Amino acid sequence: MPRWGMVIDLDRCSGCQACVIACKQENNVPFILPEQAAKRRTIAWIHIIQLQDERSETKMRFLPILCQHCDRPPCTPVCPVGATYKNQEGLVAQVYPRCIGCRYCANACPYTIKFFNWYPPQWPEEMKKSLNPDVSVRPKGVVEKCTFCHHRLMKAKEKAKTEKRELSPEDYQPACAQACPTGAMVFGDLDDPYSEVAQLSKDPRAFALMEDLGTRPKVIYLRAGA
Amino acid sequence: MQVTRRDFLTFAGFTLAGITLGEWGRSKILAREEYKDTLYSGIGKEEFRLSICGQCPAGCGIVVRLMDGNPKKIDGNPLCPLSRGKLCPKGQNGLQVLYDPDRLTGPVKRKGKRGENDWEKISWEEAINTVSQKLKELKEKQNSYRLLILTQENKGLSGKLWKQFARAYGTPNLVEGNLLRDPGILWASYLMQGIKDYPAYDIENTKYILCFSPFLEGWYSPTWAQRMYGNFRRKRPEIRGKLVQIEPRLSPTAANADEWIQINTGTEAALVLGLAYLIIKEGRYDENFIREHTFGFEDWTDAQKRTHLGFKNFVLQEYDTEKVSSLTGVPIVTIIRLAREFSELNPALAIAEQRPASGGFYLQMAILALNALVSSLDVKGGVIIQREVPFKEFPEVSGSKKESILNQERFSSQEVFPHLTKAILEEKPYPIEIVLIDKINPFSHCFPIINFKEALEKIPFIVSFSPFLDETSLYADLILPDHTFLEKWQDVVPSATLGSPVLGISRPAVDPFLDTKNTADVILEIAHDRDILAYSTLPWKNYGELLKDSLQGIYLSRRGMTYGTSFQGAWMSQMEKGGWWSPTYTNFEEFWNQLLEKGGWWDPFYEHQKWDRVFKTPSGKFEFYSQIFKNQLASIKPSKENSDFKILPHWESVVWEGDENSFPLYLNVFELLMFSAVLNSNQPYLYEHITPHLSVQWESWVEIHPEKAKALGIEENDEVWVESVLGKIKTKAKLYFGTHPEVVSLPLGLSGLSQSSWIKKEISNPNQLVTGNSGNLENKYLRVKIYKA
Repeated sequence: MPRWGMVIDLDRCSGCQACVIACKQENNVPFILPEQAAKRRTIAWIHIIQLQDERSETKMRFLPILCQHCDRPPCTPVCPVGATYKNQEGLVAQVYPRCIGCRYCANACPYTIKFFNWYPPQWPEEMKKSLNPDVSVRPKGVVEKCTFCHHRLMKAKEKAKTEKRELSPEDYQPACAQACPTGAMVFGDLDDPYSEVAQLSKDPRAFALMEDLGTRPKVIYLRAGA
Repeated sequence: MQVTRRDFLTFAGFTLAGITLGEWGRSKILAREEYKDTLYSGIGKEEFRLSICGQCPAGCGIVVRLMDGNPKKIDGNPLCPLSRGKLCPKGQNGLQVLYDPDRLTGPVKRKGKRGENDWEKISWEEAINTVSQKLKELKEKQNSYRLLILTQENKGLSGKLWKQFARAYGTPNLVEGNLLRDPGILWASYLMQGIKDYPAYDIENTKYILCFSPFLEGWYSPTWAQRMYGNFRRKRPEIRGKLVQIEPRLSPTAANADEWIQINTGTEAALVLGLAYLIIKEGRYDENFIREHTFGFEDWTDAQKRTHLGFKNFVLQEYDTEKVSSLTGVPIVTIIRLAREFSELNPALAIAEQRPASGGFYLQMAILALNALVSSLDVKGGVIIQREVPFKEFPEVSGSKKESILNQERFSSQEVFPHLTKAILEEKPYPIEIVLIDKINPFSHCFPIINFKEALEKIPFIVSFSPFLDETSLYADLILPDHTFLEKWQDVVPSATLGSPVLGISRPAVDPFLDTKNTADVILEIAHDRDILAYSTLPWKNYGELLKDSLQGIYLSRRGMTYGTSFQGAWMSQMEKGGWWSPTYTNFEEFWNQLLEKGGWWDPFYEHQKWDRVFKTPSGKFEFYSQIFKNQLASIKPSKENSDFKILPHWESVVWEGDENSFPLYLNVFELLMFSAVLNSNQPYLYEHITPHLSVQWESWVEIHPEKAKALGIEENDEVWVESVLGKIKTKAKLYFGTHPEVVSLPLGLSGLSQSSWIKKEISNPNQLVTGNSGNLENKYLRVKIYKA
């Protein structure tokens, strides 16, 4: 079983936000209108955060943050209804109909990348045709987050099956990694020693966010700079 | 079936509730299921179709994923040499243009007063007839030169079509604004290299970039710039490109740079020449290149035996490091270090295309001169000149002999707009009677628009081709909405990017959703009225025919290939280098079909250091001292005094408009990656993520330094007025440490629409404050004051 993971090279990343928009288009993420957004209720499964350099006040860095798909996720044990769990693929999954909206998981997540649907999703009639049929639309009152475009994995598996072959890592990548124009995001099997993602994850520049918490994220970052 | 206690209770509970609460209760209980109306009911036939992104004029090839005929997602076309399967955020958001609920549904005629937003729907026949009638009347009165066509710069066939239409109809007044590049560099390139085209920068292969402009935001092709940036950093083993950003403000590009050097606004050219001074003084320039391929470096004597000052002595006289340091505010040690780094790391590249406010075209000349000193011209990792796409020529037409209302060629489109406005308002040398506006919205596309609204009011008949009700089309008398890009045949020649000529071709990815029409087809339809144009000047029934006919030129040129993988490109390049060419097609039909199948044509072969191709100056060399410029200046105003200073690249002090006491701060405007050059700003996802460097959504803002704000008593998110001599706007204050304490910064491009499904209140437009702030010989900047509203 592959261990799906991602490497984000911060030296390549320019904070252009192509991943952010790609994710929203792919996953039917609802718009949060101005008055609601003012309450910080915007949903963005992947988004860019600004980091201030501690050593110099006039330095800033961009860091794309998304669900880290931890091997030891802090968000799953707190769910009272089993709506969020680590699935067979090792991805942290979210079952929307089970979710009761208690937001324990969102509070337990140290990376704060779980989002609560404060409002029923709304699209103008014209725009409903753009919704991706592979991804369910979330109702009001549930928590949602990055799935590593799990629906793409399901599709790729089915396709491989009908073509009577093994699933190869090239068959599957999430929308953000596909869009990333700087080539900062690399996706693949962390356990396959020959894959690019596994090799990059052993780079001396590699680090994980809040490593000390022992969450063992499957999103690895590469430090910017020489 | 086994019924558990839980199932039973659930069932019983719901039934009971259903009975007691009736219809109202049932709808409440089932309310959570409401989202199900978006559940998919199609058969799920998946398709992928090629198209070209139309969010900006860069022309990246895209693939559209459709389910049962409805577009669901856009990604880059892996075969397109520009996008290579990748896309910028604007490109990713293309579907919100197609599905925009506020688009015009068909042609409309103005009912109320101009700008009142009151429209009456009309048929296409009536719309086209009205335009034809007006054009005919104008022509009959021998006044065809009183037609103004306002559009964006476009090297593809739809752009050529406008040019041909203007010439054949007999008007010299075709004004094209460039939405992606800085026209200053166009002129610098023409004067010093003799090439009337924008240069391209080989970012990917360079080792060091000295950058004066936020090149990762809204300039160039954003997808291309991002891709090249990534490769510049980490593609080459053992080589990591170094980026030094020199700007008054910490832009997102500066945040990404290895080093950000804050410089005083408007002194960039002085720093560039200060670097040239050190490179010359320390003998770090490429002597061979300077001797063989440049002109005007040393002092020289012309045909009349007059001695002229060369670049070398001029710089040595004028730009010593101490002086430059005090002017620019950059420490002397830093200048010395930059000069050494720039000349030692080879190839190195200096870029200063500044949008929206160019530092003047002397800055661009200085930049080219700096690149020439280290021989970064036409080499791998340097400044390169893109080759042309070999279209079949359009039929000859004589064109109008009348002088354009701009009465002379201007040095930038930023400068063109104030002149245009003035000429229209003053009706000098003659009034404009009809204006056709296509693919441009000067109000939000970073042009100085002071009085532009009044100028529009003055024109008796305004036709817009915009599919969106933007600020410009709001003033139109008639709107003939174009298709959006996914709905139409397209051809795009991207602005210079990779040196090789590229042409994107695509058929519609979807049938038009609404009653719109391709503008190119509308022009041809109008042109077919014999009283308007002679048929022979535009002998095509529709745009499709024109496309196919013009591509004959490419087919017959016997070079290049249809879009392919980078491996195929490298292979073709190798072959062409050896003088071979192996086409994948045997006749034109095959060529045409392959074009549509792959998405376009390109010629990957680029030969560096073909000096006769890249230096078309009178001397056949790169000219530090531009002879073209000398002749031009002499023809404008002949003077006896030694004007060498005016011709050599130099720094001119900036003129600040507004007096120091009442307007104590400087104004800086900047473009955003998300909104630069977009024709339709009504895109909710873009408004949710306007920029990565501040947390701001759905609104415009002004950046002010925290210390300055404290002194003025302004706090984060306060409503403030920003006022210049030209006007004032109300906006929200954001405290940002990355702006200079004496400068306030405003973003452009956010105010495309006053009202939409999402934006209910008007977003103030900083363009109102901006005058001809750039790219001109006068070099004017603005002073402002800021106070709490």
